[in-house]
Amino acid sequence: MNIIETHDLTKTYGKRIAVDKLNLAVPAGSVFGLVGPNGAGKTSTLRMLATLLEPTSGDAAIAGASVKTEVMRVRRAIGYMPDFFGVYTDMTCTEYMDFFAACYGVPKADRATLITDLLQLVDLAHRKDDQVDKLSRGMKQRLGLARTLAHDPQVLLLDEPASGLDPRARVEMRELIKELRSMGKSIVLSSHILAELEDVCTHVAIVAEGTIKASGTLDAIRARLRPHRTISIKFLGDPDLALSVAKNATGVLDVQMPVPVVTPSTEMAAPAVAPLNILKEVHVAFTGDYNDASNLLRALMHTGVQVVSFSEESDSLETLFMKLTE
Amino acid sequence: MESKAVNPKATSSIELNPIFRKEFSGRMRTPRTHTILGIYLAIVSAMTLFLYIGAAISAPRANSNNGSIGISLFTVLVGMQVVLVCFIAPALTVSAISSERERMTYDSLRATPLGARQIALSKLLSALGYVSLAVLATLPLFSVVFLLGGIEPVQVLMALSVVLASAFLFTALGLFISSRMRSTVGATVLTYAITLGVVLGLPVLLLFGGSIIAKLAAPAVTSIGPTATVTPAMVVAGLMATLALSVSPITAIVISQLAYQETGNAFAVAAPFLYGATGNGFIVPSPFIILCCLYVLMGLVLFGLVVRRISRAEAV
Repeated sequence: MNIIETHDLTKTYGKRIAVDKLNLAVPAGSVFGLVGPNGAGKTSTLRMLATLLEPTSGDAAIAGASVKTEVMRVRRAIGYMPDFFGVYTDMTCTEYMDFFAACYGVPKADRATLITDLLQLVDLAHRKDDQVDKLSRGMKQRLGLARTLAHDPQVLLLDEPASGLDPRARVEMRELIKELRSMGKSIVLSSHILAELEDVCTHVAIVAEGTIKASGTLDAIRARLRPHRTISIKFLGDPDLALSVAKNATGVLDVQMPVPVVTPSTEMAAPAVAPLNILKEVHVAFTGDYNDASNLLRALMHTGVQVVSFSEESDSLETLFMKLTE
Repeated sequence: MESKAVNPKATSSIELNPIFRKEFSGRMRTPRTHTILGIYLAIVSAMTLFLYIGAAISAPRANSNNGSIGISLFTVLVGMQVVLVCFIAPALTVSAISSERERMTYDSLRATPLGARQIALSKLLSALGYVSLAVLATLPLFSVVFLLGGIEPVQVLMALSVVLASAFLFTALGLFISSRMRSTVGATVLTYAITLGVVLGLPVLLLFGGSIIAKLAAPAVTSIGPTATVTPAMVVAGLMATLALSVSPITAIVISQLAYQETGNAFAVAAPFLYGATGNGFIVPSPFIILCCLYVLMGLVLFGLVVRRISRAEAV
């Protein structure tokens, strides 16, 4: 079931098309990453989903409510955190949370407990009485995230949630997003930090010039871009034998052997080490299933090749992004 | 962690609107607010004292003259209050929206289910609440006027209606310009330029235009006064002059008070250039009534535009 669906969602500013007939489907309970260069239309898309920007044409539905005609229903279903957001400087963390909880209609009697729970969730309970403007950037970002949860929304729209954060704060934000997903939230987030998206996202959409270049799970995008997988095998022993065994295995398309791996230990011991004991590596273009992969490993070991590692290589999100947007 | 209800309208019916509460309590927390109120009261008090002492020195034994002193004091007090309200009221709202943009809190606020009307209304009401507080704080000074006598309750109501209508229009004007401009500084400059234009510039312009038309229509008329015949051009001139006296709260309150003292009619006056000395009297509503209607109407239009602006999706 999709919690968000967009249908030919379009936004133009004058003659410039920011978002061009975007069709997205975000499964419920997923963490959906919007990836794209600056000006790709990510923020415009999120703002349209948050009902802050009216689509030029097309529509989107969040939890079954149209962003064009059922604005208030959409707003109650979402928690939106903009890419740049400020805080009210004359408030404490508790007052800030109380203000937004009241804006979302949380009854007064429930707010104290709710605020305590939310501040604990984002690890700010110890700063509850501090002025908001005294918090660090990372803390403000976490407080902003807590604020979006005040009304227990089904969907979180987070625009560059890790932007401007130091490495520790990024890790904390990432962990928080994972925790929110485990709580059943559907999360749509945009980021330029692709490695981080790869870590938290179950689905991604690669966006460029307002259009989707690819969308789905990372594995599905990888499969679409490259029909075969690559298995990397590091081993000791006769390379010709290893190549021969690999080439004859089921599901193997091609086998290539890059330059031998030289590790510091082998380098130091090089004069005394026989060539057979140098660590080597082959890259196997593979279309087989898991059984075929298992058989390949067994065959190598059976012929006396000393397999050190046997792993499937996958393109990083960065590689996919570069391929799709070049 | 789950919230039990998500209905802002239900909440707002039980407790104060959160934006109104935040704005009003935030305003009352800052020393600046109390400083402005203190300066306001100090100016009005000093002026009252100055006038009272001046009147007492000039007519120490004339007890029978207390009524006219009371009227003068009342007129000056009301005039000052109107001027101060005209300049304090827009200051309270001129940063209401632009500062949300500057602080980058605008989107977070707009994304809540409160809606544009509630956001605009909360900001307007919190400003009007403060103006009302300032007006209420000056009430003890008016007790001096009542001690001296010469003022009737209807005159107080006339004055109060002009003050409140002015407060409404100029807070709405501040809010409107704040919603249109990105910078608070720019919004402040523009708001005060328009306020000055409305309070001082527009009446002068209209009066000037009216007198020119009157002059062209009836060269014998040299000033606002009785005329023998009334021509259509003079009606236009008369209406322009009436409008001129009605668009500024200062002139509206002074003319309305003077006309009431002269005729005893609080609701109608003879139009300028068209005095009824020759039986051609042209009666128009008292300037304070015209002003209240105009200001409330304009204030509502501006408020509507603010709501539209907030609810309208804006470019990134």
